[in-house]
Amino acid sequence: MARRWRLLVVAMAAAVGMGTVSCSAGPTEAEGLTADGLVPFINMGDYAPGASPQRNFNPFSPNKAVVGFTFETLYQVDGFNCAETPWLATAYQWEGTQKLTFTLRDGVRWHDGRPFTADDVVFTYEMIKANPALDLMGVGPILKSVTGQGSTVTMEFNSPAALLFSKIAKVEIVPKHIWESAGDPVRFTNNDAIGTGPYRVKTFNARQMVLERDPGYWQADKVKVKELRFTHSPEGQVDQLRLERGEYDMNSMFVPDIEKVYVAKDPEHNKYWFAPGGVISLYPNLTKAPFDDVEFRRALTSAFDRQGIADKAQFGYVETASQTGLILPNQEEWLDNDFPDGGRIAYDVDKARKALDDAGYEVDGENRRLGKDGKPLSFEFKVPTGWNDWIQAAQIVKDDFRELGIQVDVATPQQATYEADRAVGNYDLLFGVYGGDCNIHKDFADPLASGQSAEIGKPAVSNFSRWRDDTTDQLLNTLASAGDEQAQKDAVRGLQQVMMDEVPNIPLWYGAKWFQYRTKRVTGWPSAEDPYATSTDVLLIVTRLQPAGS
Amino acid sequence: MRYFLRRTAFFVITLWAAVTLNFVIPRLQPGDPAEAIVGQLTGQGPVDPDQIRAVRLMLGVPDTSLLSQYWDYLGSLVRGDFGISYTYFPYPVTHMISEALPWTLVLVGVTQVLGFLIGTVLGAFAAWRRNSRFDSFVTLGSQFVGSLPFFWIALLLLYLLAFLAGWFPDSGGHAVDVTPSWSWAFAGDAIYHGILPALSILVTAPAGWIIGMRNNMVQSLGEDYTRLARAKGLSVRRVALAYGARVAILPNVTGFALALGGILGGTVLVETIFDYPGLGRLLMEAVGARDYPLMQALFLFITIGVLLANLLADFLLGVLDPRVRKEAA
Amino acid sequence: MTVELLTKPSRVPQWLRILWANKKSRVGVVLLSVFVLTAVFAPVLAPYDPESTDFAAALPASGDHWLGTTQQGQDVFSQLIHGARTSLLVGLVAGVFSTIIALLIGMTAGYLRGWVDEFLSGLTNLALVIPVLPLMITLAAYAPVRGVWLIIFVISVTGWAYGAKIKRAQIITLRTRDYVTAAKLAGDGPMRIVFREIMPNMTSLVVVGFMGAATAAIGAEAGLEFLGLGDPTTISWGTMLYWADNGGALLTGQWPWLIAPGLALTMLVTAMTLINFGVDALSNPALREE
Repeated sequence: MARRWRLLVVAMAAAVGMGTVSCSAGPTEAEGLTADGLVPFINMGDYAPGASPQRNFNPFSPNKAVVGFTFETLYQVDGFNCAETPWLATAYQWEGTQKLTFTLRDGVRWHDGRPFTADDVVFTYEMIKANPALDLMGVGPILKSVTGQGSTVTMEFNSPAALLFSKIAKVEIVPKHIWESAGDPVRFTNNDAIGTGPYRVKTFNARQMVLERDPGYWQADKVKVKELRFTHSPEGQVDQLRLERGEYDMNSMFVPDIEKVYVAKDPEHNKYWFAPGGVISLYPNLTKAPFDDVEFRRALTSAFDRQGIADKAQFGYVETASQTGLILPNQEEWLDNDFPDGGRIAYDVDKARKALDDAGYEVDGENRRLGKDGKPLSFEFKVPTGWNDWIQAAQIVKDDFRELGIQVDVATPQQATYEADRAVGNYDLLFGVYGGDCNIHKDFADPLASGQSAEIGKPAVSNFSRWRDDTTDQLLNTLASAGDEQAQKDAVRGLQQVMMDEVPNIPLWYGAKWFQYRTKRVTGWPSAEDPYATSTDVLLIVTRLQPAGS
Repeated sequence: MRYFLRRTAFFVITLWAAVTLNFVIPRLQPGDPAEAIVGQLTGQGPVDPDQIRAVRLMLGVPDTSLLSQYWDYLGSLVRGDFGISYTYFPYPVTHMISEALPWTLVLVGVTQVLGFLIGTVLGAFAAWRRNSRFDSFVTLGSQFVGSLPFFWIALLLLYLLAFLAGWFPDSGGHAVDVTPSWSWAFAGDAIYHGILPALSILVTAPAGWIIGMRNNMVQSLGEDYTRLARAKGLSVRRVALAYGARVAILPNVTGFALALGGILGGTVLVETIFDYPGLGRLLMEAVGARDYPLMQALFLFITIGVLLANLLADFLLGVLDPRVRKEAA
Repeated sequence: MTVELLTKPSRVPQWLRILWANKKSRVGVVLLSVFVLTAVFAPVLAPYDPESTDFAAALPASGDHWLGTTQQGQDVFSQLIHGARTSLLVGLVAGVFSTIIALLIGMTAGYLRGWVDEFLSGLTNLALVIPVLPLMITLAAYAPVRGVWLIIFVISVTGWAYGAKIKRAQIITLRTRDYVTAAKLAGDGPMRIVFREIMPNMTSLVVVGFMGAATAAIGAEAGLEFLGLGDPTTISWGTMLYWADNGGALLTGQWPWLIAPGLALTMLVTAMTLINFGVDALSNPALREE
C-alpha cells in the first residue's frame, strides 16, 4: 500500500514538473535569434483537419495536414492580386490557347537529396489525370497530354485553357521515385513528406506539428525562420484565448470584437487584415413567384441595410457589396465605370416600398404586402445551423423584409440538409457565395451559367438560384474564348449589366478572409498596406518574413 | 443458474437490437457526407464543384440499397472491419477508436468509481445520522452541486483554474511536446491534463449516489428486519452495515451500470469543452461530419460497453440478492 | 397505515401540508413558484424585447442593462427572464411524457411478469443500453428542422427507460408484500391491485420519477442547445450559453452573460430536487420532519 502511494506521488511530481517546464520553456526559447541569424520558431495555429490530427501528407487528400510548406507548385498565383510568381518553373509559354510549355528551375532538390526533374512533373500530372480522386484542381478532364524533355514540360489541352492557368499551375509536384512505389496513391498517407519546399516535417503528434527549415532549399537565403510550429486548435474559446495571449504568430479565425479582444492586448504587435474573399449574396429562388418577377427583384436591391449587416452581424469587418457581382476593390480593373458608386446600391426603404407599389405589389389593411395572387407574401430563409454570423445577417434581412410588409422566417437546418435543399432548389431565400477566384470567368459562371444549374428537384452545381438566360450564357462563352484583354473586358461589362438590370441575385457583403498576425518575432506579413498575397499563399509569405527589428 | 442463462440470452438479444438500431439511426435522415467534408474544408467560402467530385470519388459514398448496406454492415462487424473514417480518410475507424478509447476508459473509469465510492459512503453516513447537521449539509449540498449543468461547471473550471489561475492546461490529453508512450513522464503529464475534465464530472457524479444511498438506507433502516435486529441487541454498527447498507446498496449496484451510460454522455460535453481526445469528442465530431462508419463504430463501442456493464451488474445482483434468483426460477 | 391514509379523499390537503411541513421542500416550492411566475409574466417583467438588437453590443452590466448586452446588442437580463419559459416548458412536457411512458411500461412489466415482462424489459434494457446523450445528439443532429419541440420529443423518447426500470423493480418487491397477497386472495383483479394497493405506495416514486425526468429534461435541453443542436434563434438558457460561448463572453469580460443562465438553470433544478425531499416524506412517514 505504502509503495503504491509513493508511486503516485512520483507521478504527480512528474506531472507538476512537466507543467512548469513546458510553461517556462516557451517564451525564453524564443528570445533572440539562433547562431545563424534565424528566428527560432513561430507558431502558425492549426495543422490538420479533425479534432484528432493524423499523419497525412498526401497533398491531394481532402484530409491532408498542412503541406503548403513542404510541396511546391510550378507557379504561385496569389489570391489577392492574382499575380503570377515563377516557382518550380521559371517561365511558361502558350502556343495558341491549347498548348503550354513550362521551363523548369535548375538546382532544385527533393528533401532526400535527389534532384527534381521534368520526370517528376510529368509523373504528377499523369497521376492526377489517371486518378480523378486526386484531382482537386480539376485539371485532368482538360489535360490531353503532358511530356517532358530536359528542363521543359509541355502540356496539351482538349479545349482553350488560357483562362485556367491558375488551376493548371497550382498542382503540387510530388517525387516520382517515392510515389511510383507507394501503392494506391489515393490511400497513400505519405508519412515521410518528401517534397521540394522550404520546410520538412520534424515531429508530429495529436497536439503539435513541428516543421524545420531545409537548409538545402533552392531559395534558403529567403527563409529566416528555423521552425514552424503548429498547435492543434480546439473549438471555440480556448483557441481565442490563446490568440489573445499572443501564442499564435499567425492564425485565421473568426474573432468577435477583434479590436478589443486581440489588438488592444498588444497594440504594437497584434494586427489583423480581413481581405475581401467572396461575394455573399441573397439568392432568391427564381423559379418561385414573386422572385420570377424582375420588377420585384429590382425593388429589393435598395431594401437591405447592407451597412447594418456589415456592422452588426460581421462586426464591421467587411465591406458592403456591389450589385455588379465584382469584388471591389480587388477587381476594380474589370468594373464598368458607368455605374455610380461602383454599383453599390444605397439602403432606401421608401424607394423599395414605392418600387413594390409601382410593380403592383399592394399593401393590405394590416400592412401586409400582397403577392399578385392577392395573398400576403411570406418566405422562409434557410441558413445552416452554427453559421452564427450568417444567422445574424439573415435576421437583419428578415427585419428589412418586415419593413416592406413581408414576413420572413429564418430556419436553421443542419448543414448537410441545407446543402441538399440548396442543390435541388427546395428553398425561398438563402445566402450564396461566389467569386473571389483568380479566374473571372469562373466568378460569373458559378452563379449565372445555365450549365451550372438544373431543374428543380435535380442537384445544381453552383447556380442555385437557377438563373437561366441566353444573353448571360453567350457573354460567358465569349469571355471563355476571348483572345485579348479588351474582348474579355467587354464580356465582363455585359455580365455586370445583367447583374444590375436583371438582378439574378442581390450581393450584400464581401465575406472576409480571417487573418490575424503578430509582429513580435517576425515582420513582413501581408496586410492592407502591403497586400502582396492572401493569408493562404503560405510560400509567398514564408519567403518574405524577416526577424522583427531587422 | 437459469437466472444467469436468461440474463446472457437477454444480452445477446439486446446486442442484436442495439446493433440494428445503430445501423438505422444514422440513416433516418438524408445527407451528403462528401459535401459536408468539402464544406468543412473550405469554411464558408465558395465550394469548388471539382473538389466535391474528387471527395465523392474518394469516399465512395454508398449508393447501394439499404438491405445490402445492412448485410455488409453485419458482415463487417463480424470481421471486426468497421470501415474507413470519412473524416480521417484513409485511416480506418478502428485506428481512430483505438487512439481515443484509452482516454475515455480512464476518465470514465476513475470518475465513475470515485463518484460511486464517495457518494455511497457519504449517503450511508447521512442516512445513519439522519436529520443531523451533517445530513442536511451533505444532502442539500449534493443536491445543489449535483444539479449544476455538467458543461457549465466545465466552462467555469476551464476559465477559473486554467485561464485565470493557470494551474492546469486548457485543453488536450497531453502536453504538445509529449508524444504518447508507456512512460512515467507521459503518465504524469496525462494525469495532469485529466484533472480538470475529471473534476468537472466528479463535482456532480457523487450527488446521485448520495441521494440514492441515503434514501434507500433510510428506508431499509425503517424496515421491520432492521428494527428486529436492533431489538435483538445487535450492535449499532452491525445493524447499519449488515442490514441497512447491504439492502440499500442493491439498487445502487444496478444503478452503477446505468450511470455508466450517463457519465459517458457527460463526457461528450466535457471532452468537447476541454478538447480531451476521447470517444465523446470523436463522437461529436463524427456526428457533425456525418462520418457514418466512425459514428456507427462509436455508438457500438459505447453501447456494448454499457451492455456488458449491465450484464455484470445483473450477475452481481443475482449473487448478492437471492430473492432475484428465486423470482426467475 | 400509510396506504389507507393516502387513498382517502382528504389526500390533497394532506399532501400539500406534508410538503409544506418539510423545510426543504417549502424552499423548493417557493423557488419554483418564483420561476413559474417569472415565466408567466416574462413580457411584463423583462425590461426589453429579448430579441431586439437595438442596443450597443457587448455592454458591461449597468443600471440600464443589469446583466449587460450580448454580442448582438440584446439585453441579457430580458433574455434570462424569457429563457425561464423554455426551460419550464421543456421540463413539464418532457417530464410528463417520459413519466407516462415509464409508468405504463414499468408497471405492466413488473406486475404481469411472464412474456410481457420479458418483452417490455427487453425494450427497457435496449433503451437503457443506448447511452442517452449520444443518442439525443444523433437524433437532434439528423432532424431536418430544429426547435424546442424536437428537443422535447427526443428527450421523451430517450428518457423513460430509467424510470420504467425503477418502477418495475419497485413493483416486483411490492407485489410480494403481505397486503398484496391478501388482496389477491380476496379476489381483487390485477388492475385494482395495481392502482389501489400498489400505486399509493409508489406515489413518491412516481413524483420523484417525474421530478427526476423533468430535471433531466431541463438539463438535457440546455446541454443540447449548448452543443448547438437546438434552434439557436430561440431564447432559452441553453442558447444563451451557446451564444455566450460562441460570442467570446469570457474573452470580452462579460461574466454575467455566461454566469446568469447557468445559475438560473441550477436554481431551477435545485428547486425541483428540494421539492423531492418533501415528496419522499409523503409516502415514507419515517422521513417526515416533526
